[in-house]
Amino acid sequence: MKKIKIAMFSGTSVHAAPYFHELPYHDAFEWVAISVAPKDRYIPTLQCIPDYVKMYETEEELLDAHPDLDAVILAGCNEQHFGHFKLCAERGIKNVLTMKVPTFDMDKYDEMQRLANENGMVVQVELEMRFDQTVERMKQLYQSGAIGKLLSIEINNTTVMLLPQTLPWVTDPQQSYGETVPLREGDKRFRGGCLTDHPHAFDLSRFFTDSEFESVYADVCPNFREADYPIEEGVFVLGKMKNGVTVTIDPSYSRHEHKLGPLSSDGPGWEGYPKRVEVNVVLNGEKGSILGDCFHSGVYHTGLPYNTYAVQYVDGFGQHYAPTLDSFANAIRTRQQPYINLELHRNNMEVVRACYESISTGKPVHL
Amino acid sequence: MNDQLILETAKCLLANDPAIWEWNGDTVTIDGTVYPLTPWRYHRRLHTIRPLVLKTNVLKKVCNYKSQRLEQDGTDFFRCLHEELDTLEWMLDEKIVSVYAAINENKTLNAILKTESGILCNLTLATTLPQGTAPVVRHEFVGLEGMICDRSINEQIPVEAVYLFGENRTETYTDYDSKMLGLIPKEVMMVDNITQLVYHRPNVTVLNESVKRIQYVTDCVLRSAETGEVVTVEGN
Repeated sequence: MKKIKIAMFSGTSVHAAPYFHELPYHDAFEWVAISVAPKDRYIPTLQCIPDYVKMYETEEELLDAHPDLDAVILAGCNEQHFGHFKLCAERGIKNVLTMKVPTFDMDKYDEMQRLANENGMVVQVELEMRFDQTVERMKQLYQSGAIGKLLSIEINNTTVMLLPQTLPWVTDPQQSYGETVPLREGDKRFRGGCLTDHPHAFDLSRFFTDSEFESVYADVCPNFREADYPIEEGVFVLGKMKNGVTVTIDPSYSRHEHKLGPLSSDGPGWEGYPKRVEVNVVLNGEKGSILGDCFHSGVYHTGLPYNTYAVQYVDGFGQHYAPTLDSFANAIRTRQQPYINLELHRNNMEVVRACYESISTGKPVHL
Repeated sequence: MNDQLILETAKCLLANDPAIWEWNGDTVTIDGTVYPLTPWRYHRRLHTIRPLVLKTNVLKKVCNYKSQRLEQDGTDFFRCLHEELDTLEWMLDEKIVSVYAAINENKTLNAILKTESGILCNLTLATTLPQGTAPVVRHEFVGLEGMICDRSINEQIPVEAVYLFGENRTETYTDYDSKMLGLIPKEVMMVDNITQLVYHRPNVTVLNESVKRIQYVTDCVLRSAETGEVVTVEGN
């Protein structure tokens, strides 16, 4: 079967790196090009892009050079996604995989949906936790009746923070959130931190409950790092679903990093914590509970480069990304909208926005 | 809990103390003064963490606190809530100033609370585990310099010290004290609580006030769950 010619825009998304590793080996895709602005060329993760992938300075230049392109992955900073999407629509790109924050501007979001519909575009959103095997197993167990009626959920999506040395835009509210909005009166921080970065937890809440958020309450804690980053690092969310299930979400950057210098490696050891990412889920039902650890598979060492207690994820970790590409390829070939599409994801964006509003007002927000 | 075992162990440990004391379930009377018991404060792990947080200050500054507790079905839900609220204020040495909570069928609680210095706290509680299941309890403190936790920090289920996989039996043990071999953690906490009160005789008025206060904070949690509103905890 003919391979799908695919390119990536920017490659500075937090989740771009896994695709640098998956795309070269995926049998449905031929990765032909990437656009990387000269200012971003030093970013460590970009160094592992295969030599055969042609690199361009701008997206326009890339599209000009590859008129036969089939698909594009939008993997820039969050603020860029809308513009890049419009460019794809204008240039006749029919298939787009956008990273987890297409935009928080809901007018722009609706514009993306309109462009997709009018141009017959297949658009997938990258919510890779939907393809996680632990999540799938937990849902199966719950649906089998093992814990009876679901009462409450706890989701921890806690991570290290990708410091500005690694990805400059992650601490820039404008580039992360898409606009510069103060968290609340008297707080010198802005929207665009851990809450922006972790829409998965909200999506998983909807996935497990087969319901939508009715209301959310959220609050922020003081930042965990003394660098005075202008975005929020710690948030707790309490949501109520329309079917009565209550949800606690912790999307915080509460796992510290190694303090010494810029991060030079994507390998284990630079995190000050055994695991750089934790996605733990607890489902409490009338007849029992299910506890899941989605990032469980690791081997541990205390060797180089930092002699800290480090985890190396075993083969199979990252299986979220290959199924994400499988789903995208299948959608492209069947001309069907993929499982995780713009319409499905819209409410995740709405809920995150509502959490920010709750932080701002100090009150629960009803959706 | 085996009350007889608790009593005998406490008597043995206090054999050389001249105090006249009597244990009455939730209180202990020492030389005529009635002291409320708060055994959950005496969990050996929390007892170790508290000075790390408050005295040696290893986190420099606490930013958030998370408490997760899953207990067997049939466990007194509101007693667990009372204990966890008291643990929060005791461990942080701070008063709760606001709460937003949701309770489902008096079996699960999700709550976000804030303390007077702005520490954001997350309490989850569920009495949903089947009979015979060991509780899952975890307390996590995250600050400027890292984290303190009473569990292995990247595992979800409590790790025990001894595992027996016998021919017809599977057993686990975590003994905290060679003088109390055979006592389960809740029994050890009660013995510790009684003996420490007898040894140190803290200010009973302060203890009674703290019990009353937590009852009030519990009421605030329930009010928030009923109204769906953020409740300000007065009297700080």
